[in-house]
Amino acid sequence: MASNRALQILQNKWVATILTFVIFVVVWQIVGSYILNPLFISYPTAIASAFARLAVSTGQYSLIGPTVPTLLETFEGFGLSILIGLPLGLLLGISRTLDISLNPYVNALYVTPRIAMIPLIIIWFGIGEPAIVFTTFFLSVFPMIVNTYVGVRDISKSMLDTAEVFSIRGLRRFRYVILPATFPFIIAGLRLSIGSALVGAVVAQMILSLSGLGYILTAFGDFFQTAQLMAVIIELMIIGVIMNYGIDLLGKRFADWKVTERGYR
Amino acid sequence: MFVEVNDVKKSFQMSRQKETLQVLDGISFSADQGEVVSIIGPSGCGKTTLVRILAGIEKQDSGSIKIENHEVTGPGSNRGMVFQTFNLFPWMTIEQNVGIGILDLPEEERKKRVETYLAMVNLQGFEKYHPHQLSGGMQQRVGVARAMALEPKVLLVDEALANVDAQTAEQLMDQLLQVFAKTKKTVIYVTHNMDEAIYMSNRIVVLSKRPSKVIQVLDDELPTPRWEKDTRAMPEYGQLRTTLRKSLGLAR
Ligand SMILES: Nc1ncnc2c1ncn2[C@@H]1O[C@H](COP(=O)(O)OP(=O)(O)OP(=O)(O)O)[C@@H](O)[C@H]1O
Ligand SMILES: [Mg+2]
Repeated sequence: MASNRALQILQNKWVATILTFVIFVVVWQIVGSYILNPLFISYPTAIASAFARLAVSTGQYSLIGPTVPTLLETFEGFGLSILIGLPLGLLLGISRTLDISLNPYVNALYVTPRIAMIPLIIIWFGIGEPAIVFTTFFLSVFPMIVNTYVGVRDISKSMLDTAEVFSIRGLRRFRYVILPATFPFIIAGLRLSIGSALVGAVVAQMILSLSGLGYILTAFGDFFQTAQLMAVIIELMIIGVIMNYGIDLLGKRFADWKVTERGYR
Repeated sequence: MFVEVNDVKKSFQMSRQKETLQVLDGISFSADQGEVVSIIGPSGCGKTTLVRILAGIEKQDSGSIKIENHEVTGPGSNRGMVFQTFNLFPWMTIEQNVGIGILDLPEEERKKRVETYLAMVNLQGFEKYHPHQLSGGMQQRVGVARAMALEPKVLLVDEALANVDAQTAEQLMDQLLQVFAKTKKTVIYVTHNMDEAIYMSNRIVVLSKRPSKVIQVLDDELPTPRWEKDTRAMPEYGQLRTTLRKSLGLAR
């Protein structure tokens, strides 16, 4: 009986999550401080105190200040990706001609490691904010295009036939059928895109900037300040999680039918 | 004649091989105004293909279809269609689904029609639901309401009951028959179920297997109004069923 009860408690989602987290932190603490050189990955208490110190300090080497350019550049690139990638993905999905003529390039660029373009971007834009925003945009626009495109292409023949039978054509077809049917894919595109935008901003700042979270990551790395480095990584993780959550909310608000249909949640 | 189908032929190009698959081999039949004409035939004989041609979303190779002497050349709101697989738009609520074919109507009238036809299929109170929150039988009733909301001259029904369970199908048959009678609709009713064909129609067009031709057209003069259970118990019912079985090659 007692063991049965223990098993039940363990099966509770939160208990399991918290328990694994506690075990993870304790093991990390022991391994990171006693077994490995702390320079390797540091350990939780050191990282926590570095995090606390950096969180309240100001200036170039802190958590708050450098977050501003990173977020700005992430959202500038992401915004451009939506403005350009979303319509382009829809057009590629709808128009056969555009698909045939442009899709090979989109696909080629989609599979290319796009970070390889950074030296070229430096030649175009020099070093500084425009180059960073462009890198961010360039990394994040493709997931937007490709997901939207796939979404349009995924609309089943029977849905399109039905639209035809009920004389839903032109702009109405777009508004009542194509756009809502594609919406869950657009949400997936936004999620991948905003993640790529953050990667783009951080990587670009590591190479092209003297500010931002990307820059201080390299700086802390250069000085072997592992605990501080880890604190920045954790902050980026938190930012990523929050952004994802935001997109999720958007999805649940506007594509609720898909969420419930799949029995998700 | 209200609906005239004249020598309709249709083949499909098989994409990989060079060969073509002939499905319809000169189908002709007609329907008077207010008549329910069933199309029955073995699976794969081209019933759905025929209905799709009638709906204007598939093009015949030759032959013609006329509704009130007007040649059918594409989809139009003089025909409503009920699909074998329901085909509701999952992102729309029930009332949005029912109103989707009548976007051109003024808002007031549109609302009224949606209300009328949802009531006709006994779905008041489900306006704000989404399709996945309804049972299969209920979803198909939405499909019927959506097609009826067009107030079409001809209602095309493609195996509407093939994807609901037997019990629900029986109830739906009674409901459909009432809707047809109340609105005096001209209906082309596709099924592969003999009892359904006999129960629902005024005439039954029997198709052969692929490439399909019309084997026979049977008049179905069972008395109206019909009720599933009572009608089935009539001696005429048994006679018609035997004739139909013979025609379909299931008995001699
Ligand atoms: N778009 C298409 N391309 C190629 N072949 C097709 C196409 N649509 C239908 N067919 C073929 O035409 C034949 C008739 O199909 P159809 O769906 O009209 O049959 P059906 O009588 O409705 O069958 P069921 O009773 O199983 O619904 C089938 O052999 C099918 O494979
Ligand atoms: Mg069929």
